[in-house]
Order: sequence, then C-alpha cells, then structure tokens
Amino acid sequence: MKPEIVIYCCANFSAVSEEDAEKIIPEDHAVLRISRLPCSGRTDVLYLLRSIEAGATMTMIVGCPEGQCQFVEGNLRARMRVRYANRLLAEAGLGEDRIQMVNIAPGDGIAFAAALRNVVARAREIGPL
Amino acid sequence: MIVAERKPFDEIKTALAGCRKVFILGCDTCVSVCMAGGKKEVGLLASQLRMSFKKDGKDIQIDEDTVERQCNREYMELVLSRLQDYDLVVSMACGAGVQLLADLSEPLQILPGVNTRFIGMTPQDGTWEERCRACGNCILGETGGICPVTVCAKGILNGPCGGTDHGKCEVDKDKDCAWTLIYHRLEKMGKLDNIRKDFPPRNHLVQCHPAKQVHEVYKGE
Ligand code: SF4
Ligand code: SF4
Repeated sequence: MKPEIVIYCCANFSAVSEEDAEKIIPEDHAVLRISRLPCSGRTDVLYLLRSIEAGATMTMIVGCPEGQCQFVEGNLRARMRVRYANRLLAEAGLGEDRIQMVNIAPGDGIAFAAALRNVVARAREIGPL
Repeated sequence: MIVAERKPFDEIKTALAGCRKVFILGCDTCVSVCMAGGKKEVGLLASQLRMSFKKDGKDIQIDEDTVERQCNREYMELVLSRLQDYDLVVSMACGAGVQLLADLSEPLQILPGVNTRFIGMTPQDGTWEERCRACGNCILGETGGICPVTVCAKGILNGPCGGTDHGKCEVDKDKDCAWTLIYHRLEKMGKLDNIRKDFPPRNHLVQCHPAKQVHEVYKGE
C-alpha cells in the first residue's frame, strides 16, 4: 500500500511543489501532500497528531537550519513540538518516529530529496495506523 | 489561576475500558492557560484515544467539546443535553469543574482527565509556580507582595527561621528563603520596618472546609 506523507514546509521553501516532490518520489510509491506554513514554528502539535489520525503514515516538517530562522527561533519551537507530538503518539502505541523534523537550507534540493526519500522509506517500513 | 496537569494516558485509557461512547469535555479558562485541559489539550487527548483504540481494533466513539468555564452553571447548561447518550464523560477541568459536571449530569459516569495541583502564576511561558494557598486572610500588603504561607517551606508568618542560609532555605538548598526575599522587597519599597511586625498566629477558622460564600446581594432578607 502507498504510504501517505504530509509535508509541512516553511514558507522559505515556497519553490517546492507537489510536482517537484513527485519527481523525487514516483507517484506510485507514495501520496505526498504539501502544506505551507509561514514558518516551521507555526507547526502545531494538534495539526501533527490530526494528520496521522486522518491517515498519513508519516509527517515531515521542513524548517531552515538552526540559527537561520527568519523569526529567530521558529524552527527550535517546531523541533520541541515535534518531540512532544512523537511522545504523544508513542503513548498511543504508534511508535515515536512518525513525525520527523528536517532542517534544510532554502533551495537545497539535494538535501530535500534525500530527506524525503528517507521518510518515504521509513513510512513503507512502519505502514499506516 | 488553578494549575493542573493531565493524567497519564494509560490511566485515562484503562478507565474507558467497557465504554462504547465517550465524551471529552474541556474547560477554556484556567486549565487552558496551563495547557492541561483547554480546547487544544482536549483535541490531543481525543486524537490519541481514537488512534490508540483503532490500533487495538476497538470501536469506541470519542467526541469532544470545550466550554468557557466548567465551574459555572450557565456555561454548563449549554452542553448538558448533549452528554446524555454517552457512557462516560472525561472532564478536563479542575476538581471544581469536574464536581459541577457530576452534580448537573447525575447519574452520568464521569472521570477527571487532569490532576488539579495549585493556585499559581506564570513566571515564564510554559512554567507555573504556586503562589497562594487560599489561606483566607491575605497578608501580602505587609510582606511586600510575597506570600510566606506558600513560598516559605514552613509557612511561617514571623520569619526568617534560624535555617535561612545566604538567601537559601534549609529545607531545600535550591529554593530561595521566602523571608529573605520579603526582606529585600520591603527594603526596596522603603517599608523595612514591616519586618519587625509581630504577626499573630494564623486564624485557621477562616479556612474551614468546604468553604462557602454568598454575595451580600444574593442573601435573603
Ligand atoms: S472549571 Fe476550574 S479550570 Fe475551569 S474555569 Fe473553573 S476553576 Fe478554572
Ligand atoms: S497570604 Fe498567601 S496564601 Fe494567604 S491569601 Fe495571601 S497569597 Fe494566598
């Protein structure tokens, strides 16, 4: 079964579209849904849990490298929320790595492709809820 | 405000065994501010429970809503009729809110979803500190706005005791001595003479439980 991955991207990654992502991950390997946030710090624990509850196998949050957030500490807050959301999922018996935070410099397509391939590979291993 | 923390997930989940329909009711006042039982925390618990029961192959319906204040009848009346069909309601309010829910929805099964801990304030985001024991006879005006009943480990009114140690408390070296804090605050306020005042023993009669008060306007003739 094709895993569904929800990707929350910081606005600095505005160039990344679903079509771009599908060039990295062929359509028949995974369903990719990209949602743009003004900053990765806008990530909310409730969004993260609800995306898994709604059927996503994994969720990936793409923020800028630490120390380079336009809003100073948005990506650090996102990292703490991701840690908390994974803890809540673990309590519910869903493992503790369904939500992954990656820090990538805007425009670094190679790093984005590598991160996305890792997440899809992990999603295929663990399967949906 | 009242500070609470969510009960462990397993404790809540275990208590729901045997239910088919469960309602989670949040309170959007104190417990929302301390991130334990407001709308968002209700959403998180509901989502966790739905996923966890789905994983176990159990078909349990979990619904959710949050009222402005669970300790207030008027707000509760807005939601009561919707609770009747449920096997159990998890209340995410403080103990006062849980009890009003139980009174108004009798004989519905109820479960507290949080542990109520103290009256506190927020010195920084995400942190809450106990600052009042609701002693019923506030002396903050004499003590520079620092409560010795709460902040002093021994709750003494005529401090410091002999155990104060360079501003730290003998009970716990990591804790500030309340009476040293009071001394320095009074000094800054120009009211250091207050430290010489002799406070009479606390009047515990004003703290009989369960306390009750009725506003004058609401008293009969
Ligand atoms: S029910 Fe408790 S938590 Fe909610 S408003 Fe009343 S006192 Fe505060
Ligand atoms: S003296 Fe302390 S415990 Fe008593 S009412 Fe004032 S703040 Fe609360």
